[in-house]
Amino acid sequence: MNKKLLTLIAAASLSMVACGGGGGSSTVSPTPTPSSYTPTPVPSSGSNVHVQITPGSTVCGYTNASCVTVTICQPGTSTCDTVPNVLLDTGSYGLRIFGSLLPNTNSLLTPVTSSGSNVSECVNYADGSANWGPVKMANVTLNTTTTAQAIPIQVIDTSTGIQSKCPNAPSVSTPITFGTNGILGVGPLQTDQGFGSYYTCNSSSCSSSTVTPSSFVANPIAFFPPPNNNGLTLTFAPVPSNGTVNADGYGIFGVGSNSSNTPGSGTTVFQIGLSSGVLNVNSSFNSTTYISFLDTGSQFFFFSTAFLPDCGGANAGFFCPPSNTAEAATMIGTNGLGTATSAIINFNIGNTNSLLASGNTAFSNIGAAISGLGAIDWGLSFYLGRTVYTVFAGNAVTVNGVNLPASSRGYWIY
Amino acid sequence: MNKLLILLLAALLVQISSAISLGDTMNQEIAAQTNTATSVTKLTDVKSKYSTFVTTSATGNTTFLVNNKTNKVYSISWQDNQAADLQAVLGKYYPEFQNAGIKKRIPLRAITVDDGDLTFSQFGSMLSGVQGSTTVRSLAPQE
Repeated sequence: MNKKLLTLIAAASLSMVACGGGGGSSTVSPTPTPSSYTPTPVPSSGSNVHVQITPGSTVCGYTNASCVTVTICQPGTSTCDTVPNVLLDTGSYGLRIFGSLLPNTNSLLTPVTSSGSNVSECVNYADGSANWGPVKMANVTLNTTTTAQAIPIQVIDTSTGIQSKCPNAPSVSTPITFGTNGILGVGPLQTDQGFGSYYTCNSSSCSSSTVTPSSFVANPIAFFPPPNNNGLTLTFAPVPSNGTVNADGYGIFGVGSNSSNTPGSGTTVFQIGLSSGVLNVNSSFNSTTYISFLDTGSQFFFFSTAFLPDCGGANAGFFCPPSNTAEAATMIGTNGLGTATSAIINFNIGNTNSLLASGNTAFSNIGAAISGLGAIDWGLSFYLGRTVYTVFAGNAVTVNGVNLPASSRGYWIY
Repeated sequence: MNKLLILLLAALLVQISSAISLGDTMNQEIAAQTNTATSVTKLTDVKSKYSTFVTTSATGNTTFLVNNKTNKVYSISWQDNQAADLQAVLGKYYPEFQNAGIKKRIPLRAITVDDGDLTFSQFGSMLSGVQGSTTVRSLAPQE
């Protein structure tokens, strides 16, 4: 094929970059990589949920999958189901749980309706999978302590409604085939408005529908009782350079509401922007500025570089330098008051082949270049060894004595 | 492709079907006029070998590359709030996609498929938006 055509077709492909780097008005360095793993200390205050990265489970057991336990209850009753191995995902919005894991509650949860018809949703994922199922009202509790009362969740169930509206869903209709028991989407927005396809269904057909905002599948933490509903603080202990079998962390509800979720003096604030539909801040890497974002649902660092060798073979696209290689990028943004902010992100990239062959499950130093990504995706590897604060959209917050106004897309602070 | 039709498209931003799939004949789909896209714009007509069309909807945009000699859509790329409906994008090539074997899959976030003729790649999330592209090499203009 004509090379120009191929180039055009691959318009979203990563560009090669030259070396360099940026400076900043303030810097944040990750905790030094330890030689052995010490679990993340339990937060001294505040309600939180334990986040685990563990191998061996048939669900949520893949590399760098951060998983939590969620309790679903019928509102107004004590009838509940507790579901472990739910992916904690800051790259999506809303709770989605397989109906097969809700033996006590599924049939009791009130369906969300629109014009008298039950509402179902189809969510397509970039890996070719999808979730289909009805939207129902449920109480959602994390760590038995904090509950979002009567919020819309998606009950994944391809036996309900007319799933032909969501053709990518049937092939991942069980937790094992999908890879997790569900997804707890706790990104910066309160609901998945505009990101899923909603339908109203009767017994014989489903029609594409515009449902009211109160029907959108909701980020549970945003509906916790105040003051712990303005964001999520994620803290993870550093992992050794060769990874670890089991890693953990904590998701502390809220930002700035207690001593465990209050950003310290060494943190930097980034107001989340919007560019071509991407919630992002800029990151400069090797003299090129990219849009970038923080996402625990992405396993690793995803970025472009011409200076790290590709693994080839089964791990083609991943980086395989001979030894751990230090990299640095600079995140660039503003603090919501018009003041420029920046932070140097120091990270390491190891040999993916060796690391994955180790049998470990959690790694802070795996990187890959993915065709189609013209951005830097700071995935779960970024979070390991850091405390990252996400302030949800629409919430003002005070950081180090500075009152930051409510932002329509929230803040990332670390 | 019928030049008159192309001119009409370029001038009037005529609506076309958002369900145009890989391998479809663009003329037929334009005629179908069943869509959710808000507009279609012809961007290029390169050396009479291929044309580029961009459709824009409320949530994203899609680029179609069309082989001028056969009027077949040989490549589609997209950027949207959510991932593509594979059957809708791949059309008659969906079975080939299913049989091609996944070259790389990042759970929830990315997939790459390449069987030598059909290529498909997609990456993204609700947070980042989704970008993807697919091409049938055998339908593309040759040197």
